[in-house]
Amino acid sequence: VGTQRLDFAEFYRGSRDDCLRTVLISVGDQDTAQELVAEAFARACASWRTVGRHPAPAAWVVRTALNANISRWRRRRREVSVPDPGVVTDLPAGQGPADSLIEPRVKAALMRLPARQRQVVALRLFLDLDTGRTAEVLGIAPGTVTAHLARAIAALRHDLMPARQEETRS
Amino acid sequence: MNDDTLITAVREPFTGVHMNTPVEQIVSRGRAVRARRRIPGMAAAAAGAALAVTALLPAGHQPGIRLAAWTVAKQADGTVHVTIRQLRDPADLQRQLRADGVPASVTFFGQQNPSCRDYPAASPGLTRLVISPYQGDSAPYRCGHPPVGPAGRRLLCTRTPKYHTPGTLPRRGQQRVSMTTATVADSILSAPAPRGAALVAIRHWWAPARLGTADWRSVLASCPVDTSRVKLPVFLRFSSWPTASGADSFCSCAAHPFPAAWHLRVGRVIAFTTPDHASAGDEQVRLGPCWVPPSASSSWPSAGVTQPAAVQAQWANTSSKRCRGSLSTNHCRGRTDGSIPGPGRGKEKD
Repeated sequence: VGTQRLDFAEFYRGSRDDCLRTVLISVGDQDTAQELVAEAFARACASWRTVGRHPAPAAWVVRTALNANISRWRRRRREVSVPDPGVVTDLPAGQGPADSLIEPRVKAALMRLPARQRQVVALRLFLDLDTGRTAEVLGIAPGTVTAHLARAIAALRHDLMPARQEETRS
Repeated sequence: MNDDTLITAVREPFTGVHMNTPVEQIVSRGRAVRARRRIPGMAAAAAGAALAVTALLPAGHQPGIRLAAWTVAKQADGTVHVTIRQLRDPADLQRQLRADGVPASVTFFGQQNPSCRDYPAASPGLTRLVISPYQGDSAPYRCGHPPVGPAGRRLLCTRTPKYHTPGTLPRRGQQRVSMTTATVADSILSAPAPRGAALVAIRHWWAPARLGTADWRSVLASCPVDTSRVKLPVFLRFSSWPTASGADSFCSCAAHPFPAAWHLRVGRVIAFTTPDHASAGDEQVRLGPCWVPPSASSSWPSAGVTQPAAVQAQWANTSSKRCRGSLSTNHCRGRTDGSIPGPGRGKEKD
């Protein structure tokens, strides 16, 4: 049991940030992403004997977190939410939530992508999964992954590159 | 620019994003998940049946007694632990809390507490203030301070960014609870020139929540507030809260000296602010000050509760505006004492 726990702890320390970033891109909110990833890791810990043998445990965690997000949405779809007026605007500079550290333009460009393209980008770029594994995690065909990635890259290039080129010129 | 540059440009901003949940917490939660899976179906059914028999019956406050709707347990160190499982019978819960020495006024969302009366926020006798999340149209919840008030006295407010549909309960028998407490220290201590006042909004997610005096003090201990002047808890408000999280509430403070302007962040909720920090449009705020008459509780501070006529008139005028916009017509019509409406909820049922 001790070795098992050690393995999980190593796995957690090694992959938690990548998983968080991957889920963050998919859900768009860091607090939510952190809750989901924490819950997914807890479930991975509970089933570590199985998950530990998974070829890509981090992908398992991300898939579990995304599933949890769907369950969460189902539970709360009747609840009403308002914009949070105080958290960001009232905080002095440097006291905002952590995801305010993310460059808004990059975040906006990612958020403009369709959800599936965002997931593909996240899994490919942040978890470094290959096409086959990404397809497996998302339950889609490898060709679809390739197509989604190509479209996402094109959209991101369109959104991000002009500004960067202007910065370079100036 | 090639794909590698683009990929770097996308990845780079996320390098500052880190997961800060300690592994011990994850393992602990994992153990709980595993334990839950091991419960045999029959045992779970039997336990559920047993719970169903005793459910919905709030009872006495003897230490250690487990109640269906809520439990009030006074600890050996003097703290009082409150566990809420169902939002039922706030008046009885309030009575039990006061019997244990906690001068609490308890209000559940969607339920009136008969022992709690609306009270003008600007009155010199104000010692308690609760501000509820605003629910209704698209206008965000705002906060503010009274138009008049004794010099040096501060009325604090909080903003609640998200809320939960009243009457909707979480699954698995767990109740998400949020608490808001407010105190104006000098009113309680009858001392002039208060160092400041405190208003705390704590969200404990993944209830059952256990909040006691020690919890409040531990929250305030990490913040620049003169806790020796603050009596806690003063006002408790329980309500459903939408965010489920395995994480405990935490607190961090901005580096502003109290009482100029400062914030306490509990989770992702800003819980402290001062009148100086109030936003424009404060006349539209929906404050929910609540006064419990001294006769309702022997432990309740009975410092001056009369309100100046000018203040009364001012709030009466404001009241009519608020009622049109936020509360039901019946609620407004029944108000003849010039007090302002109760906790602002856009869809309140009378």
